[in-house]
Amino acid sequence: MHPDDEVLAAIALGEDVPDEAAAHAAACPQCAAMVADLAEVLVLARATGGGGLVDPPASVWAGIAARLEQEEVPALPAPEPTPADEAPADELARRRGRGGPRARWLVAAAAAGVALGVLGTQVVSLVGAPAQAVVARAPLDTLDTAERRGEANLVREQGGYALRVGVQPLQAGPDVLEVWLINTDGVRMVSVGILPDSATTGVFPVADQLFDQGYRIVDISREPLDDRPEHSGDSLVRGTLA
Amino acid sequence: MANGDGEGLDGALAVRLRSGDAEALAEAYRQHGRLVYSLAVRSLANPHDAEDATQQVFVAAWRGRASLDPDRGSLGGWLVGITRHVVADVMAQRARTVRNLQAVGSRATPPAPAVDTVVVEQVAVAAALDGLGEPRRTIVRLAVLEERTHEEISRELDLALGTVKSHVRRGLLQLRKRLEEVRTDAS
Repeated sequence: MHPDDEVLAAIALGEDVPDEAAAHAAACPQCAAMVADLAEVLVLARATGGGGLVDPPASVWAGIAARLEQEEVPALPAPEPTPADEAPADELARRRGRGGPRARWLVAAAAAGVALGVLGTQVVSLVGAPAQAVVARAPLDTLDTAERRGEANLVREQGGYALRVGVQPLQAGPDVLEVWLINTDGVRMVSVGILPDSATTGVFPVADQLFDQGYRIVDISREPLDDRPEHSGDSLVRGTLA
Repeated sequence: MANGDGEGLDGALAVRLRSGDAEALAEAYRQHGRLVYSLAVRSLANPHDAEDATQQVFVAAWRGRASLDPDRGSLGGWLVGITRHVVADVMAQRARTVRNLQAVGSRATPPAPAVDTVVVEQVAVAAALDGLGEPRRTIVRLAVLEERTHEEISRELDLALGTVKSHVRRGLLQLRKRLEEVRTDAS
């Protein structure tokens, strides 16, 4: 008669157990293997001291949602399913998806409690918006060390284009974080907006022609609050829309 | 069928994910994103690669959701399996890059490093521990990581001694169960 698993756990933990249980566990291959397994779990648990878990930055989910919204945009309009044909799960997804694919991912993330920063509070306004398509994507890296800090997507929405930015918290200090689109000629640039204090996401409407005219380099800079509107030269991250 | 270990909830989430519920993917990310990311960071070292790999894992999970069998194994184990493939791919790419750079000078090619199983299992156990409900999580951490006696824990948390003992043992059994799921799903 094998002892309870809890008794075997007690043995692995080095607790006192009745002699018969200890004797059985030592002699029985099945129980001895279980005790060895549990002892191994203890070693693994202690190896990282319970640490070793790192939180992914907020931009990771934003990137997942951005990549998947391409999936959801159909090449051809899907035939209207009749109520009888639809499985309950599809019906639910279709109802939830009323806001369009991007909205669906954001609503889903908000419902699941995935931290989204500023963008999370804008979800309500997106529901009901028609489907959006990602036109171009730019990884945002630091200039000196080329470390990934986030991602920017140019999306087509009803009424125009928008630049959606997702980044790890960037240090602004007393300054302000400004988002620019720099022309590939390296000379012209436009400011598309400000990232509010410690925000990790932002949505900035941009004029239709900008991308085609070569304004493809996304740049986020630290701008002192002075009277000079031009780029301070202090760029934190940059990436090219492609 | 739900039991005290919350496996019924995991199965329900898997069913929802497979059926195409976007919220289920977000919930899976909330529950397992840290595990996937930590595994990627420890295997790849470069945070940029780890972020990219994490995104690839959840995109692959969504696209491959039809292959998820809620009755066989766990969602966490399935995601770890995908993570191992994605990480191995990144490592293979790196090895190819090194090989290409060396191609001119040398015939010897470095072997592509494999995903370290010990790393996978350490992170999986850390994530499992983190996922224990309270008070079990605190009790197990105090007993296993901080080597406190049951009596000390009982006093500190104002819980009966028998309760503490039970939580430590069952907690350890739960951790082992989660580890087994990762091992079986890792293919």
